[in-house]
Amino acid sequence: MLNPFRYFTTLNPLLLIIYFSTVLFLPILNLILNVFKLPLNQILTIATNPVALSAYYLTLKLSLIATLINLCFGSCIAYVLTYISFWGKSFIDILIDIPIALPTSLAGLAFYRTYQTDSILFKIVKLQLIHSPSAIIMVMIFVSLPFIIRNLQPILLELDSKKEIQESAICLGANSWQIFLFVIFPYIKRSLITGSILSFARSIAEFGSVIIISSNLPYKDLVVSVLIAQKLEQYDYQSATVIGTIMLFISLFILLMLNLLDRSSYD
Amino acid sequence: MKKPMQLGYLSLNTDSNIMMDSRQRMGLRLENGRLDGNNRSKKRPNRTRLFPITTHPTPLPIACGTAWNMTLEEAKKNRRGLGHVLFQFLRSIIPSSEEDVTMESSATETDEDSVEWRDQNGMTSSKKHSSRKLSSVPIKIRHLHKTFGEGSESFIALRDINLDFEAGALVALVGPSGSGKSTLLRIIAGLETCDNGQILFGDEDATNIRVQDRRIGFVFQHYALFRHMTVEQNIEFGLKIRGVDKKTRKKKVAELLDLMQLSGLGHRFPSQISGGQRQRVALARSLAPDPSVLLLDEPFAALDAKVRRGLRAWLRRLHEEVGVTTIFVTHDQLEALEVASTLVVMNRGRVEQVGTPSEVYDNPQTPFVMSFMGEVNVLKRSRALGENTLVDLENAQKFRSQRAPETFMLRPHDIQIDLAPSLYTTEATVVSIVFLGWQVNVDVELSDGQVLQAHLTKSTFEKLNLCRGQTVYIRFPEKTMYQVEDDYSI
Repeated sequence: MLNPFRYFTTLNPLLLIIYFSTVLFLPILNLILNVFKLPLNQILTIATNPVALSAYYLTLKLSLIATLINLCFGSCIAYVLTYISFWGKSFIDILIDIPIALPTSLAGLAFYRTYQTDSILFKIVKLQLIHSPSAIIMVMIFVSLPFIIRNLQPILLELDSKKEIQESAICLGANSWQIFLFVIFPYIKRSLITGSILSFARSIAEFGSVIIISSNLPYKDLVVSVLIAQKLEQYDYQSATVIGTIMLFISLFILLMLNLLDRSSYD
Repeated sequence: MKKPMQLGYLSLNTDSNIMMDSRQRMGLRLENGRLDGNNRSKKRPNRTRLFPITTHPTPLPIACGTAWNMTLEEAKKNRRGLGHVLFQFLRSIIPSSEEDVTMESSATETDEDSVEWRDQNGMTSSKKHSSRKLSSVPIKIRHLHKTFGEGSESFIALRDINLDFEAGALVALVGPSGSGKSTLLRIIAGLETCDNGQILFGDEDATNIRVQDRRIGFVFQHYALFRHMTVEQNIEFGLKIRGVDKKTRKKKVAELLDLMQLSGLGHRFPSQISGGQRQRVALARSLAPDPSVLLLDEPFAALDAKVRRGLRAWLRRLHEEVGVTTIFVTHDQLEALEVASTLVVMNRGRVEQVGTPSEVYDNPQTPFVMSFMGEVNVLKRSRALGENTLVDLENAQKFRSQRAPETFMLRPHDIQIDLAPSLYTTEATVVSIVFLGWQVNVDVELSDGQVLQAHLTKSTFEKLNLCRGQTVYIRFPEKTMYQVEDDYSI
């Protein structure tokens, strides 16, 4: 009874509803309602506009690639940060959270300055990164870096304290690959999925750095978030809302699917 | 032909057998099947092709000097080829058939933690399990040393351990924490390496054999079940890894569930069953691949007292039924006395004594064993003792030590209390009486202030009718006395 949080339970549920409405439901509902004010054929025309279609496709593709790369390297980094101790480890551990704190436009600027055509790096390796989809993937990886690492770290720590599980698999005759596939992977699967969901969602939503680093040309490297901004600049509110809503539904669907992967009954 | 399981396993997992022709492999697979049941006549389809496609008459060579659609036989011959590498990889992660086992047994509620052994004439007939007798091997341990850490921080866990366990023995490694008993068990399992020394399973030197190939079953204190697998899948795991076919697996799992009295729980997850049940699942899982040695590391320590008591008796019965060489670690001397047929008492990395429970309890070889196996009184020689009290003892002790012993240890229940003095008694005063129901603990004080505790049976106590402050005469039966070494401290 001495729990100070008990005061929160006295909060009127109505207050909770109002709060959620203000910050979450109302804006989204408003967006969707605005879309359905338009006649259906107009919605379809805007939504299936070739530029918009290529933007959806590009956004999803690049986000997926960024998430997969993050999954590989994020797991490695999480592994290193959990199991291997080295000098300056705690400092690197702090650095990982920087992408969350840093304004993304600043991140875009930093990337631009580093990889632009007259930078030192470009003069050494003649690699055109800026104004290409690869640059977008890079900033997407940057902004979604912490999610997989931060999701994996606790479960890897837990796994470390449960060496017996791996040892029992060894005693039953499993080799290291089998241990990973049948014992360790199922154990960390949930965290991997959660991390991937967050990482993917963050990549889709990325705007600030993308607009700086890409050329924002339709069919080449124009992603949905930038497309919406462009439409707004042209005072084309209808297109912006429609494209935004379609993207909302697509991401919602993907997140739902990823969540379904996570269904298991063992606890 | 040696052990069928081992051969069956080797045929699937070691390089030396890759060159075998398919007929030989067949034979080994069948041999493997035989040990679980008698489906010897059932022929497995001879699937020797890597991919289910029609073979091209002239294989298409690709970069790595092999063809992607070559048969398994061809791939095996070309050991450098990509096909071989891929095959090795696939075989290392996918054991033979990978269909999911779905069993239609309905999950019926069973009594939580009912661990009393079913009547042999009842549902679980002994006939049914008589075929479960496993081939067990004797274990020999020679000059085993183990040191943890290096330099000044090193800690000697085991010093020169020499032990012999006969096939089918039920051995308890017992000792206080830090005595090296768990380390010894883990070295026998292969989970730790020893600095030097030898471990022999039968005549085979197992010191450098991988854990996976040792044919051991290991049960951990905290169960170590795979939480994402059902009880059935947990038990099946070892069989699946060793490439036992689905039908044999299914049969074996059902048999083990029955043996462990877990029928109906097969579809539960470990989190949905109780601690005692989990430990039985862990036991079933380790028994599934027919180990020749079963190792248990403090198997009952995480369970509550009542379940633990039940499981102890149950483990003994299980051992009788299965007959596999079993070694278990415990810090509880009562558990060791109750369950084991052989006790190995360990202290500070050394084996103090090996023997049957009665040998270890009645004839302890060192003061440590004496004090560890039960309650003891430590008695110092003093003037207060009657002149002849220790005479018999000294005569008996002479062959052990040249010096006249100064300190003695004796069990509380061996102290006799008389009301009248006699030749061998010492005068003492009763200082406290604690009534425990089945026994009475009486503390007596000698005239020099030494307090000894005597455990009397209820009837003896009633006969004596003692009260506090009363003067009594105590007698120490010569047989039970034990000299304390000078350097000994508890």
